[in-house]
Amino acid sequence: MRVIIASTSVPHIDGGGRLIARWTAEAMRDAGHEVEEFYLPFPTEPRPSLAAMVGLRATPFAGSGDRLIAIRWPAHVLRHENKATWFIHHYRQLFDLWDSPYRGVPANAEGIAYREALRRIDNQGLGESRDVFTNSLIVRDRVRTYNGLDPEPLFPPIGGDISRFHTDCYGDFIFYPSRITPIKRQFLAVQAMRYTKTPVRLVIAGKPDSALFGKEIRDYIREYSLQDRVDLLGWLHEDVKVDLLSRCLALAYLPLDEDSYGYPSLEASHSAKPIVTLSDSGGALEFVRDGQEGLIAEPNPRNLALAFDRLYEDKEEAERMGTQSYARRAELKIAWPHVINRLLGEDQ
Amino acid sequence: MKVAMVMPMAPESAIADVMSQAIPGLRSNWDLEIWCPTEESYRSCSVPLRPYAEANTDVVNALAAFDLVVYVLGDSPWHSRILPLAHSLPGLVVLHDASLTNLVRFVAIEGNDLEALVERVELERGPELAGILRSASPPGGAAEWLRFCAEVPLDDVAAEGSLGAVVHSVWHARRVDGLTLGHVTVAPLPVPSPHIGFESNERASSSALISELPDDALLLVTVGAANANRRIDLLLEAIAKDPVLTENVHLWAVGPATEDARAELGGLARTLGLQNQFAMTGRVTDSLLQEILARADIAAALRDPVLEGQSASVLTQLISGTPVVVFDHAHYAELPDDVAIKVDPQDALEGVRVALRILVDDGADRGRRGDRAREYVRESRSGAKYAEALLEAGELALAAKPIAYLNADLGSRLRRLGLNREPMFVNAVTDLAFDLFDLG
Repeated sequence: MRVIIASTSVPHIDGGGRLIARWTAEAMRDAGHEVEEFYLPFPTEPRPSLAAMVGLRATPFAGSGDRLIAIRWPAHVLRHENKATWFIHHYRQLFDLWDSPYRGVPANAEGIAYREALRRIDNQGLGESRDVFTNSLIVRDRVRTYNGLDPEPLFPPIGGDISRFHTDCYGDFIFYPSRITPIKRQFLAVQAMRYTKTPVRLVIAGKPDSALFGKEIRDYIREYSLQDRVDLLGWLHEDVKVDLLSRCLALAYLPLDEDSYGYPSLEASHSAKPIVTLSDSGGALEFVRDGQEGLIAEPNPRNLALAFDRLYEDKEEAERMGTQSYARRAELKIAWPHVINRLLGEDQ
Repeated sequence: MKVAMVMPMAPESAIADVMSQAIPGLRSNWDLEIWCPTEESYRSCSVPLRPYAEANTDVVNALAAFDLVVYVLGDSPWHSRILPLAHSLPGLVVLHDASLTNLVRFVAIEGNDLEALVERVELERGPELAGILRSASPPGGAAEWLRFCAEVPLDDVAAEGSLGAVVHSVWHARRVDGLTLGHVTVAPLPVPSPHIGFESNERASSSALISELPDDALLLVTVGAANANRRIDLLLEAIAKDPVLTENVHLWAVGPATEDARAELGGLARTLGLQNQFAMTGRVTDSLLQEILARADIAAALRDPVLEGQSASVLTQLISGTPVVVFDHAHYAELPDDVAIKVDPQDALEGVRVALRILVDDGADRGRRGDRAREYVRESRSGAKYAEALLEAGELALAAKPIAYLNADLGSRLRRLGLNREPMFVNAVTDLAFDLFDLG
């Protein structure tokens, strides 16, 4: 099948939204389909989004390819006669983050007007899609709530050569690889290290979104003399990351109310490592059940420290949870053949 | 919410008077400031007053710090330093007049932009009307200019890009619908205060008129500038046509008048034998106006063409308990039937005669209508009610901001590409915007 994969991007910002499109394209090519990828730059602020939406809608995809797969918001406004949308999030500031500090528009009639305009556009783009999928149960529920539609959850697998992942040992450190940004709460993980009672260590890897946030973390480590317990590694080459995954005790993934389980969770699963997450982390809770694939802590430093200590003190339990973490993907049908079939409108 | 209301604040401005009545209601909900063009003196104000000399970038930048700017517009020079701000920084416009031709033309001349305005009118309305706009002196004189103002109101220019409009009648709302990016709100214009600010130009002769009026005379008044569209000539002819009216009715035109209008109408009264029953008071003081209205038995407001969005003078007449005769058109048609006698403008002379006879013949009916008129105005008009409508319009205007931004951003992008005058591109973009944002 000739497939167009269309997504939006912010130039020079890499993340899950870009990976899901790229990996889907690669998996489809591997399955024998003719795939072209389009990453259309799209602004992040509300005001320029409106005019950019008009430009996106004007992009002439209709008549090209047999199927268009729209991925990152708002690629679903693209017009195509056989469009499927893999909806991975709303314009979150105006919907699920409305009551949070991330809202980004005034909480008055103007802000509401932005939200209603985008709700209408989402309804239009999703409504004209032949099939609508979401990347998690959370996003499915949000689409039900905000758009009155009932999409099918379709969990995205990790891409590339997954044979690179392996398990060496259950070491003495918790590994947290992710973009370093307040919403991922690396700071909470560092704070937890003040309260651990075991020699467990924390290794954080990733590029800070803002220099200020990175400095805050470094200052905190220095202030509480955690230099011997916490490593801040910055962005890692894939090989180094895979190596750390293979040797860590567990993976921490602590986002605030995230849309999906996140690729770090899947990387932990491929490495047969338990996952420590928080009770308000969102999508990760669809993958991790407390005491089975990992531990779910309350979102405070002391409770998180207890989870870290528990895994350190009982490595057999950590290994058992790691094994369940590995098996969890099959339970949730997190596999490319299933995903590709569904995206291309074939039978379940 | 931080709101700036840009309006004239000269003591003599009738629009400032009615807008000021809303301020107590607005300030309890908004963090309100009044911005006004500089004048020699200002009416008192219970919120911070920020006079500005020129409508320049500094003022625009200062206003941009507010959540919402409300621009008060009327067809007079009081507003010439307000309109350019409304064009620079979109806000909510309060339109007091249905025609803003004089204001828009004046501002275009001030900005060396008259030819662009003329070109726009030529494209939309043809070369003849464009020529009249350029010269402002049509062959038919003042009366023809008023007709031109009604036909080419230029309210689309005034409201262009605005976040919404407030008008004062359903009739005006229908005319304005579609000219603004936002909602059109019909707000109940309050009755002008008994004391607007005219206390220094009293004409002694006018004051003497009341004492000289025979006790049994029925006084018919028409209040406002004696323009060609006030149809004072028609009132004179209707009185002359009917012996009962001729015997009983005295007609006073209360308001400023040019010498030409005085000569013309005075001549007509003499021709019709009504010279002893007709007077033109000229501009009167607030207190004298109240005296005249207290003495008046009947009022008439026969505007044709209608250039204002609501008639403040009719409201003044109604609150004084005076039954009023109006044409059955424009916003006058919205007055309750038991308050005003409405005359078909197509049968104006006979209609006015009959209406006057009804009121002259039946004193009890006249009294009932007067009482009902006062009651109607008291029930439907107040500064608080006006403020409520403005507050609602403010909320709706905020809701129009995203679409205003969309409009500005798409417009500037097309301009940058040099495509803003290419119908094919403009249509394609607007079609998409209408589709996505449900602008239809």
